[in-house]
Amino acid sequence: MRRETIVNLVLAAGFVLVPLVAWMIDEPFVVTLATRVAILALAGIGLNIALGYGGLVSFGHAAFFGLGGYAMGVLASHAQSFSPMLTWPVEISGTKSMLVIWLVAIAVSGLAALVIGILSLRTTGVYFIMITLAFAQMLYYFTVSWPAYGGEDGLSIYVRNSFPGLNTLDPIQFFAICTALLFIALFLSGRLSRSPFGLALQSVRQNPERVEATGIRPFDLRLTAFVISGMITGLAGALFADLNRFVSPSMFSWHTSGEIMVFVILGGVGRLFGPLAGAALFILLEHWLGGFTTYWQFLLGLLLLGVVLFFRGGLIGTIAGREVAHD
Amino acid sequence: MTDTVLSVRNISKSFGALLASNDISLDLMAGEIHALIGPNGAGKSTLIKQIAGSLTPDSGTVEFLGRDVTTLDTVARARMGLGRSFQVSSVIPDFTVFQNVALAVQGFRRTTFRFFRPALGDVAIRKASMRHIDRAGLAGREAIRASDLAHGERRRLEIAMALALEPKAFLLDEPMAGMGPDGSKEMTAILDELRREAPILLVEHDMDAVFALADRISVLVYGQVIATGTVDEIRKSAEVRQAYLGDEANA
Repeated sequence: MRRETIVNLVLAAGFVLVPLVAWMIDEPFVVTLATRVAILALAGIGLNIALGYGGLVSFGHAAFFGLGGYAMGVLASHAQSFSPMLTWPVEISGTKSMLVIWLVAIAVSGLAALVIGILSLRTTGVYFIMITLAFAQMLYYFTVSWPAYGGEDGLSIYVRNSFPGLNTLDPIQFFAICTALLFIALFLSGRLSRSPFGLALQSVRQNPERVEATGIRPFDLRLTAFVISGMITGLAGALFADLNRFVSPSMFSWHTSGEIMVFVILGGVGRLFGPLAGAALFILLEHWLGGFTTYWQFLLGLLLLGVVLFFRGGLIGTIAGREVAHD
Repeated sequence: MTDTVLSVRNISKSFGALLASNDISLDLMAGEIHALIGPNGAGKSTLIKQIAGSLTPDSGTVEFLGRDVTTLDTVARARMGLGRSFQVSSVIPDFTVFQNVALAVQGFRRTTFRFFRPALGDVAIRKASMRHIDRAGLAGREAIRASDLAHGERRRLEIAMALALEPKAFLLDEPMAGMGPDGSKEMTAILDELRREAPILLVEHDMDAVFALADRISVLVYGQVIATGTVDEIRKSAEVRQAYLGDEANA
């Protein structure tokens, strides 16, 4: 077995065990922390497909995270106030069903990624970073100034949305839902990276000219990756809103984009389990260092500098070593 | 008469005041190796780029397999069967030899937009990749990372990738560059094999290789083709000697 596979398995097993132990010793807060890790890791898995596999430095993934969050917020707020979202030409009412909300979140963020991707993937480098950032900021200011859904104050959803057969208000059950989605996303991301598409996408990151010469259009690869990436991050956004039972424009802020990127970099860019390792480390630091000082992000900054300068492979890369070309 | 596979007609391209291609015409016939030689800065790379599709000529046309491809991009021309290797080794550095060739195979087969099954598990792709690796003389090296290959091997990997496109014509930009004498000889043998597959437009500095391989030679100087002919004709041409070969003879 490859060393990275072992590291991944240990990480996965450990992740599932932490909240179970916390639940047994009756520390429900830890379960909520772990749920946050699962959701943020999911957002990171989305970004990792664009950034890690495709080399697309998107500084606007908050757009998809926020759209997922607002998909949940808008649908659930209509359901809780019993007011239809649309009365003409057909009546569309809100919903409290997680499954429907997830599908809407994935569809909306996928569509947004398609539009943003078509417009921004014509550029590369710093221009791409700036354009993706601009789109996310546009959505941020749009939600701030849109009073129908709470404007700057955001939207509160009083009861968590429902999932058939489960009590979603029970922290451990909600944790199970999020973790199941996390592992499904990890599985799909792993398959994707080894698929013909993944092979070509990772080639385009390294040498687009060569890929062109083999008759594959880099733009098509990048756009497809960007859409898949946006959909996963959008799903994470819907879960995040459900975790907090609250959505606000801050989900769209560049700060959110930066944090998602930090998870990926801390964990290891392009590593399958990088986002999970990164998000877990981030939440741990926030929790521990945040207990000592409110300036914990200063220390996080130092850590990030260290990773970028000396440990390029992030947490996974440092433990598992140089990526072995998979066969 | 043999068929014309690739035909460049009166191509001109300028960058500001510099006329990099000045009314260039040349043909590549089925079954031949047509070498393009010329001193540094003669405009060989500019011409190759226009043939491959990464540069558009200001005027003139490029015909490939009887079709005007002047307005088509690199991808479209590659799909028609124009197999290209680059002047500076251009492979996917972090991938193994096998992965590199598999990429080209799936490019040729148009099986890239598949998202679930492992690319390298596909038996048809495995077999095709191994065949091309074998033909390029890289058997036994398929698990080596491209960035860990010796320079000559990397050039061979490019040949394997070009082969995977099952091309109707090869466009090889200095395949011998940076190779030692032994490597050059070996590559000469490989290219001699390749010509049975498809005709080759060969840009090369290694005169031994050019004289050993080429059926015809075109000489490019200051963006103009000053002569086209057989090896003997080019060797005897006074104009060519003066413009190009003479420099080497005196050195």
